[in-house]
Amino acid sequence: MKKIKSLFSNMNYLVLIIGTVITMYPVLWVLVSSFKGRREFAKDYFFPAGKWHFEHYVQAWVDGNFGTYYFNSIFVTFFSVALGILFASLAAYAFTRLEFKGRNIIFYAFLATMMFPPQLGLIPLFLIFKKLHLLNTYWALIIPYTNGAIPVSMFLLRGYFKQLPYELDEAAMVDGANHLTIFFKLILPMSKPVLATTFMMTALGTWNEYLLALTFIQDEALKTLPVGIIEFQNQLAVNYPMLMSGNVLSFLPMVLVFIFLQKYFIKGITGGALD
Amino acid sequence: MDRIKRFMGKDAKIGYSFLAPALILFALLNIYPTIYSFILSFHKWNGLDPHMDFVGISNYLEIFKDKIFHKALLNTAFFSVFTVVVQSFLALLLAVFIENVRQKKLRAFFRITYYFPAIISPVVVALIWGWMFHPYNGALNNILNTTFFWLSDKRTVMPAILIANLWQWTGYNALIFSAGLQSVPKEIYEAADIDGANAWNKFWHVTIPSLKPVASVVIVTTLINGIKVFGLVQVMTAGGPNHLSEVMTTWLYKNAFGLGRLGYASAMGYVMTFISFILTFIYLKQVNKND
Repeated sequence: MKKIKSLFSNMNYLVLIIGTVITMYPVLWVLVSSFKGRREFAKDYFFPAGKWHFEHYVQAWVDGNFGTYYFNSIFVTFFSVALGILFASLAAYAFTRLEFKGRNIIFYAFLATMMFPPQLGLIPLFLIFKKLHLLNTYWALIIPYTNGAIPVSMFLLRGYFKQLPYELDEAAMVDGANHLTIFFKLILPMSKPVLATTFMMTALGTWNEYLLALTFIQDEALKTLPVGIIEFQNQLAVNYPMLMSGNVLSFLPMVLVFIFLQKYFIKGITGGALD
Repeated sequence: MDRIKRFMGKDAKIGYSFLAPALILFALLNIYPTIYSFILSFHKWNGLDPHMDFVGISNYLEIFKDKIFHKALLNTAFFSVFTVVVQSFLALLLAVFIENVRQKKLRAFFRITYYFPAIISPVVVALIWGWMFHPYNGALNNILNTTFFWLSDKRTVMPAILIANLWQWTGYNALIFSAGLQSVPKEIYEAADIDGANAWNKFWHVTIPSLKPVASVVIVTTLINGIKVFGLVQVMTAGGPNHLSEVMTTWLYKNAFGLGRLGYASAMGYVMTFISFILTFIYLKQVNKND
């Protein structure tokens, strides 16, 4: 019996290790290949044979305009997510601490929007932004991204606010606080964990967004990273290792954030249910 | 809670004002475009002419006859259903294996590793797998020592896209299942032990039923995301050589911004949304029926 048990447990590890290899291989292959010499790529060994070419990264950064893309992505993501969470948390406060008609219907209506394909509203949005001369400005992304961050944030925050005890609210009210004060000075400070998690989850989706960024921004100076990297791939044709270094540059930021803050990402989808 | 109400009164006013920013954006970016899109779907317009032409339901009729749309619909359906079935199964299996690991730190390591592909942008995943499937220097062909055009052959182009998608999201969904697995109360397993259940019995009669709600969430979200897929396909194949890997979203995009057929594309958007609602509805009905 012990033998069977240990056989199963070894198989367990084996499967998990194979899975890990499958998961990591594509990324590692791209990473290692980005250090190969330009003509080496045609050969099929895994590691670069001679010296490791770090200059591809410099060239990619400069030619590929990555500095601009990084800045635009950071700027747009940060503002959209901050605004979105602010609006969503105000709404979540209303959903959990105020009684009014349609409270639940409105909440579910927000959630329902996650079911709709973005393509449905894409054309009208494009037309209205065009009319308002907002195309090729940061607003063309910040406005929809803020809206996009709201349903998920609302869901997470409402769940969390519901668990915060009302006694604290009541105590504050006895001291003469109004709802706005309670919201900013009591509820929000107590919600740091869920705010951090929500921030990470919505920032991830916003950072990686492609469809709207592709459609609304044509101006090179304002492009975000996903659009930029595709741009980069399409223009420079033959230097594969350099193209791959551009690829690495495009996923590097989020990977670093993930490695250091992974607990927030995991919490975001498991609701703290994992030990 | 009642004390708060009595103390403050005027709840509704404050409630709506707190909701105002979110609601304004909602109206502007969800309600307005949905309505406008609906109206547009009954017109013919290239976006540049000063006025649109009303054409009734002819856009919808044309979609019905559009051979490329049929292909796209088939591809989308194939992609979504296949992804749901295979991914959910693999994710569940993975979750079981992960949760079987004794050491907490090792478990955490595996969780982080499997989640990792989900944080990469789908278009970057498309680029990476485009490289993997590259005919001359791709990793796959290097290993197999061949020059097969995975992304151009009609037999392998959709499977290739599927594999890239599976690679990205299976681990993510496995973690969701992990959370589900951990939330099953130990007492139920202990009771099953007392009744003499073996590991297989426990899995089939305790674990699987307890996971139904989690599985439902995973399945529905995977289904919806499968229908919505855009970046991955657009960047990997742009709809494949000659529409071989066209999906509804890419064909819609081509019509709207490539061919300048805004009315037609809007109609397509509605058909797509309708189909996705129907599928979700059918699935949810199935689930509730079996309870």
